[in-house]
Amino acid sequence: MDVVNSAPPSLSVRGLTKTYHTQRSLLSRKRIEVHAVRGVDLELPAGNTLAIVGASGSGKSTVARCIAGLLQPTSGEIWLAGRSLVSEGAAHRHVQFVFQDPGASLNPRFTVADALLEPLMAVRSSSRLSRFSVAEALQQAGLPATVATRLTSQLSGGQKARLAVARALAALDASGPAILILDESLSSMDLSVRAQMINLLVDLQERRGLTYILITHDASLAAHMADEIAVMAEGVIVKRGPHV
Amino acid sequence: MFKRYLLRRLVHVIVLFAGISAFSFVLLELAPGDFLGEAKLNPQMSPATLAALREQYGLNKSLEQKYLSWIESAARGDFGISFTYNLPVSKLLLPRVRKTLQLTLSALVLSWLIAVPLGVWSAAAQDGSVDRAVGVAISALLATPDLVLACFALLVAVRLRAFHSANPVLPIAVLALGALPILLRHVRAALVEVANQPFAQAARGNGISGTQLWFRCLLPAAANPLASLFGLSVAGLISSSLLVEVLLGWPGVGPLFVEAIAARDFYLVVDSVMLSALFLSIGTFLGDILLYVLDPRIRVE
Repeated sequence: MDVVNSAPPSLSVRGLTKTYHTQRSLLSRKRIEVHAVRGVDLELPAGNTLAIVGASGSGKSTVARCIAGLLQPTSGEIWLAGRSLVSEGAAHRHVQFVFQDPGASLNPRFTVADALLEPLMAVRSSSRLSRFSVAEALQQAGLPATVATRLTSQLSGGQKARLAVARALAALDASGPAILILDESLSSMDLSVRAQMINLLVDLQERRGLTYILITHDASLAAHMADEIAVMAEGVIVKRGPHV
Repeated sequence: MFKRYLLRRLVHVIVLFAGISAFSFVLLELAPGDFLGEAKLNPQMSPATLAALREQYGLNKSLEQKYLSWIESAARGDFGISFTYNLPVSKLLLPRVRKTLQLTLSALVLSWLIAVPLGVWSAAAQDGSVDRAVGVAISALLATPDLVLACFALLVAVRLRAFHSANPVLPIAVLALGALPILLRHVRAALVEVANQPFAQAARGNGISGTQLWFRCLLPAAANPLASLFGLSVAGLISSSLLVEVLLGWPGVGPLFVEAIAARDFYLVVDSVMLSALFLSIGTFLGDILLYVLDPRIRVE
């Protein structure tokens, strides 16, 4: 399947399905199929924010994980700027995931600098490594350069969230499209930290032209941040629009 | 901070040694019979000779007197005399300790060298065919007593006629196989737990995979319980090989210890137990040092 790409490049998801197989019990060999996602289609122009809302178990996180390459879809196509993310397996260079608990997604034994350099371990590109500046990455996320030598476990909740965003940005290729998926990442934060994070994300979107996919069950947050909202229920998108 | 830790550890060692030595003395005193028990049955041995021997060996002293005089002489570096060999215990034990360590250290290194990569492989292929095969092998090894493994080793030695008693290969193999299932289980369990943490998923999301993911990200994060387990394996260096040494005729501490217990060779038994306690302290200390080296959070605290 070939997707014609308009400029600016966009994310295109076609017929995405994800089925889990579970075994009923230790004694039974009968396997149960759970259809977490059943034929999801999405189009997302670059620089926009899409919020996927829905109740727990509606399949919104599964869609996000498939786009980020954390899960292999059962069927369907995910295209970004004319390249298939499913077959090329290079999702992590263009799509990054900020987890529900940003603090827990940081290795507690790493220093802040190590955490920022971690994504570059996979790149093995010396020129990209030499170009990377820890201080610059920290400053971009609103963190002081002095935290670079501290352990991630020593940071406050707000600082951990900022670091998780900074690390996701460090992992993204500077050239080409960049999508940041925030999986309930803002929901566990207290109000002041959350407001600071929203400001940071809006600011980053303006400066770097980032595309956001916001996974949330908070309709007011979705309405505040998103250009478009998709409502999911039982593995399918049931409603879509600028306001739902 | 490190000085305070060392001081605390030293106090622990002193308390441990005092407790274990006192307990050993009490147990040996409570055990029926003594070194001259056999001699008493000998009709050629007169009561006067027996009394003189009891005096010579200090067997007529009370428990407290025995214990205090042992502590006093141990502080001077004299750990008592073996009644059976009529030699200072230190002279008897040291060459045996060297032999035992030759076995147990080699088995320790070998078992860890196998357990870590195999545990990583098993955890990485969780619920796959490799993991299942390793799981079955672990269960089989766990269910096999060291005694059976040692008998099997004897059978191999007899059949092949290639291993004489001075050859350490078979006892090392038996000891390593005996230790392997526990180590392998712990390595696998620690890694599986860490692999399901959000930071491991985040590392995968960053495209880190294979050897880099398991050895650079996850193994260090799973190292804490393994460092403690390593300390425990060092702690068991003297005592773990007892049975294997006796069965395979290895001239280590094991056969001497068994012989000393049977003969009620008082100081030889006490000093062998204390040697084991010394290794326990060294093992715990090494485990702590490893934790300190491996976990930056502990260094920061």
